[in-house]
Amino acid sequence: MAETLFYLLGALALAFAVGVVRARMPLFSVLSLLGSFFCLSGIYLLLGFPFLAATQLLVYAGAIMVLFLFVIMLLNLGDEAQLERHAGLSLSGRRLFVGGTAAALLGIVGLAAAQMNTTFVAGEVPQGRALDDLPTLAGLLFTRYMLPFEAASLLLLATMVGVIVLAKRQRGTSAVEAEAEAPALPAPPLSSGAPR
Amino acid sequence: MSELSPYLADLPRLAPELLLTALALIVLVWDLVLRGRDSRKLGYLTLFGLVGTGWLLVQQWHAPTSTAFGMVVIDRFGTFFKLFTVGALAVVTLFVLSDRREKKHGVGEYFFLLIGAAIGIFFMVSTNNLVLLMLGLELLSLASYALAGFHKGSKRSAEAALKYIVFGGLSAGVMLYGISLLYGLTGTIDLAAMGRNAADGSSISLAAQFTASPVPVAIAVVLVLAGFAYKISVVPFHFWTPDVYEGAPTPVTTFLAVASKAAGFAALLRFIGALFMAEGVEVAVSAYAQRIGLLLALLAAITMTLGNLSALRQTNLKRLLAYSSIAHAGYALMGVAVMTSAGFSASIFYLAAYYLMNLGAFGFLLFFEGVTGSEDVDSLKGLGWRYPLVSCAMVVMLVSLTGLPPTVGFYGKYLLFYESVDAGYAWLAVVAALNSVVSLFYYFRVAKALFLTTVEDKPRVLQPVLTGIIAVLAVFTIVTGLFNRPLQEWANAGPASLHIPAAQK
Repeated sequence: MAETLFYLLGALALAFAVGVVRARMPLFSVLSLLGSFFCLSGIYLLLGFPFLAATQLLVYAGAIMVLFLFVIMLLNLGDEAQLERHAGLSLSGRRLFVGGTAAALLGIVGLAAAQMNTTFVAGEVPQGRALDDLPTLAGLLFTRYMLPFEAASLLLLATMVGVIVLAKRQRGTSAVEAEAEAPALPAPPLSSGAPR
Repeated sequence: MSELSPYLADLPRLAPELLLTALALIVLVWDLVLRGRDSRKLGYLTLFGLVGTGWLLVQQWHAPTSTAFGMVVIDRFGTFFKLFTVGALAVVTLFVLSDRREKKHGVGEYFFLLIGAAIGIFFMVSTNNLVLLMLGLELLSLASYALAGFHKGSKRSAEAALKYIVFGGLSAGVMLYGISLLYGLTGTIDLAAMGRNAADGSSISLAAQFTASPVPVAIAVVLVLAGFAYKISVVPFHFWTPDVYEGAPTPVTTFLAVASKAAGFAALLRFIGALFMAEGVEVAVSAYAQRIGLLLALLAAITMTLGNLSALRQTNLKRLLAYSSIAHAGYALMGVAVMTSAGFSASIFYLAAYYLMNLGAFGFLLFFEGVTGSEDVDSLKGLGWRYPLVSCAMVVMLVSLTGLPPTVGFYGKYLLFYESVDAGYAWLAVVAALNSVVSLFYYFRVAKALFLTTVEDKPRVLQPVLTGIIAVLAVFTIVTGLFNRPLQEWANAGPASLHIPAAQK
């Protein structure tokens, strides 16, 4: 039962992920991404991780997706066909290239997964306690993994400053210069905000 | 609290990292107080903090190897790279302060991001823990993306930032996937633990997994190597390098070319050292390591050839130096590919040489941008007679970059060639030697433009700080070339602290 559900959710997540890149309207891309996140949180649930599943939904599906939607609505991005006259390669050529690369990667990953021999004991969990037990997780996060945790906070701070640096308008820039920098503005904050 | 206290006791060992973090936060807040009016003060504060960090690091160099939080290894290998990072950052800070084109911008966040990137490097070069490694790498990358796009008025700078983000995000994803496979295979994220079977059965060594299922192991290792290859701009992952180096502000380019690349190398050396070459790693792995070595040797040959051949065509000095830095990544990779302790030392030595000569070369680029406002090799004409000191220093850098005596670049290359021949990679040494000949052409095109043309009389633009730095670096390049013993001993301390047995050939 659990295995069937896992494959079902995995296939759905993959289908939604393809939808993210395939969709012509940015809005549909975001909605597909949302679907993919939902499937992923379902997989977390199957693995016995209700906390991670809930966090996934709250943070990614809740907060970040809403932000994405806001940005897309604000910038009024329509059909991406309008953006395509700048590209060098033809549309079908690019699709072939990207699709081929993605398929090759997927094949490699599948090969690895098929031959994987996973008979290890999870060494990170203290004896006699399950990781889905929230106090255990919190305890590990603030003792053994305190350093990566703080490093992550530093990472977020640096990202925040970086995004603000790229996005804020220069003090005292003339209208002409502001015009010149305008095309550069939407992209970097969007990409930096992507989940990583 | 009782669970936390053993970890808190480790905090003093992280003093350099903590000092840098404090410095970053102070710079950030002080910038808000100053409201971008007098950003130079922030630069001086940064320099002051860097001197303090350097002092702490020197203390650590003399202290015995220790571990903090069970994941930060404080050894001579890491401290060596940290010291060079601090040195490079200090020079870059001076570059920012003396950049004539930079003054019109408020540069407060510039210093914050630079220090943030340095903290990322500190974590990267001194951890066996793949999670912390990834976080350090991302901290470095994210700060670099913003730095590359710092000149918002310029289209090229924006393009550089965007390209860097897209390439960086993709390769970070690939690397993370490789790490997740490694974790799935071995049950641990600690590189040293991956090397051997755990006594309590909590993790399986990579060697055991390799005999059981070779394909997933190969895929995982290659995916992680791809992430490193991007950071050090080795060939299939080098496409971003020329555009990003050209578009980014020159001090940032210097930081990316010198500190960021060396950090990538340091992490790569630690990764390969801990996984395949450390003491106690099972024998089954060493045959596998040879194959990884062959892959790296091929990449090194392709990288240096492509970098050098592309550099031949460049007329823009910044792009030329970008391609030259790709070629140098190829040379430094030779020492990794041979998979011996002596090869690793040679690689570390070469990276130190690379620091010196590239800091000087990019300093010259900055000087020359300040004089002419252009980056073309052609507009260098006759500058040699107007600015003899800086130009002579640049010629020293070019000699060193080509790898001719009596400079540090020559000795570094000599070590690399010797170790490759010694480890049975004679063909690689031949390719590298041919490449050095090719590089002579484009490096000396710059020297020719400087000196072999007529003088055009114009008022001189004085940039005393830059002139001083470049001259000092040139002197260092020659002195460390002639008296290379100390630097070589420091480099030799690296493989020893990675527990790589010296006799392994």
